[in-house]
Amino acid sequence: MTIHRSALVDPAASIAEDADIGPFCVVGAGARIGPGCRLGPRVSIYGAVVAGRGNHIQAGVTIGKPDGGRIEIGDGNVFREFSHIDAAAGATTRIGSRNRIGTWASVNSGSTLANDVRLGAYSVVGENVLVEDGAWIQPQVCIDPNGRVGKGCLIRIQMTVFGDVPPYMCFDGNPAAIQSVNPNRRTDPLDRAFDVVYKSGLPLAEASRKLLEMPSPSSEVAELAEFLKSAKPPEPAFE
Amino acid sequence: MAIHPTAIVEPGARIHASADIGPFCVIGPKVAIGPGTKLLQGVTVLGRTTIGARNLIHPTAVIGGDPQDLKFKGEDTITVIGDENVIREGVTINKGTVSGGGQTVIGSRNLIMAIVHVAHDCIVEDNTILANAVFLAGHVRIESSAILSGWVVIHHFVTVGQGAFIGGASRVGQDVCPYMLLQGLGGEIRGINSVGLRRRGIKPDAINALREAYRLIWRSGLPKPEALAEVEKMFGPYPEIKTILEFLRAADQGHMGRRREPRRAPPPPSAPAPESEEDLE
Repeated sequence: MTIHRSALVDPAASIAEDADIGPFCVVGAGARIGPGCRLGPRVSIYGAVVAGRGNHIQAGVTIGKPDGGRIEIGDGNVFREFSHIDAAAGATTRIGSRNRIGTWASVNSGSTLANDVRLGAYSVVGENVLVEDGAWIQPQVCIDPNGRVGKGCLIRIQMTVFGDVPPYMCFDGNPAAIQSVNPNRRTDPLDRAFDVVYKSGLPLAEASRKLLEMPSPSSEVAELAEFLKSAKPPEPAFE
Repeated sequence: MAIHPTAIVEPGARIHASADIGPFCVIGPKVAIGPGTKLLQGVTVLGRTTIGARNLIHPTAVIGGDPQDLKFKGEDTITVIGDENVIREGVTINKGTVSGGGQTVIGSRNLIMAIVHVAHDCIVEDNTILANAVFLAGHVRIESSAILSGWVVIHHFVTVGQGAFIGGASRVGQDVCPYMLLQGLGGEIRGINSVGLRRRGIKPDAINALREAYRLIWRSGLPKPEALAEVEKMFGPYPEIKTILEFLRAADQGHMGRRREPRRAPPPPSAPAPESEEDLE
């Protein structure tokens, strides 16, 4: 364990043996920092923050706030400069594993980033949002509170998202809408499912039933159908 | 030499006698800082970074951080900053990657406003203005005297030509022709940067030639090669016209409208299918 002489670490904080705390870091009493975590210069950690193994938290990042809620962080995440994770009193914010959180991005109280999520620079995830595995949120995106961002979807640069973005889809354009299957995740069944849902004009719940009737649906199509059962369609920010 | 007693300067850092390092700065062991450069409070300089003369770096900027690139495995790549730049609060400038050339370069006399992000392997030439929250993805080149307004996002491998002006919150996915004005989510060229051209003392007949070239290339409906040939025939001798013709032809020879795109490193043979914008973060 190396704690820089200029860092302020509360004696009640638990820091793993081989964690590395950089200059001018402030680590509060409720923090538990796991093995192999590296905190760059000027990282602030307040409140009940539990971080697993090998997280890389870079210069100027703030996690939690005094008298805030609980923040649970898995393993191998990268928090780039000035990114910010928040939890209000009584709420729990969860960051899974292997997420990459860009410069100046923020994740608000009560939200969950699952695993392998890429959150672009300056992007904001509102309160109580669920971002599922492998979603890719590009820079300068704003996700409205209470939304769901489906597994493996892609939200393009500068989009504002109200409502839910279904798994494996790509959200883009002006007015913003689901444009296609995420180009990085395309498969034939997903392409056909996209046509069923977004070219038929059916309400989403009905489209979801149609998807399950498709011949040879893949597991991804089944996930899409499940998501659409209860999804709020994403709306354009301005019309 | 004025190094504030609370600043942390690692052994090995080379700070010029006339440089000024403010309170709570963190300077890594492989950093060199030139004469007259002033770091206000809480500036972080990491990696193998060279900062030239008479720069002014405002509080909390982070220079020379690791690239946000999956291929990066801790290599000792570099960041170079020229002279007389102003770098404002919360700016992040990342060092290069081996496959991208290994260096991120900022020229001289640039104004880089608050919370701008300059990613790995970018080249920003001289006299540019990057307004607040501009985002440059990796391998971008910004040529001299270009102006980027607030919240502009530039895609990987894009080249922004000299003297171009990009309007607020635009999204730029292709090379931006020199001397032109671009605005919008689709990155549309809207006209010539007439104010910028006048300020730089370009002669009125050359400005008129550029305006006519703009009409022929983007508004006439002619196929692009024909439009370029027509522009060359009508205004070929003007140096500004030569510049834009050369630029547009180079962009067409690249890939997806980006002349630097072919520099993208091929994926290793065992890797899964490449993502279209691999390390845009």
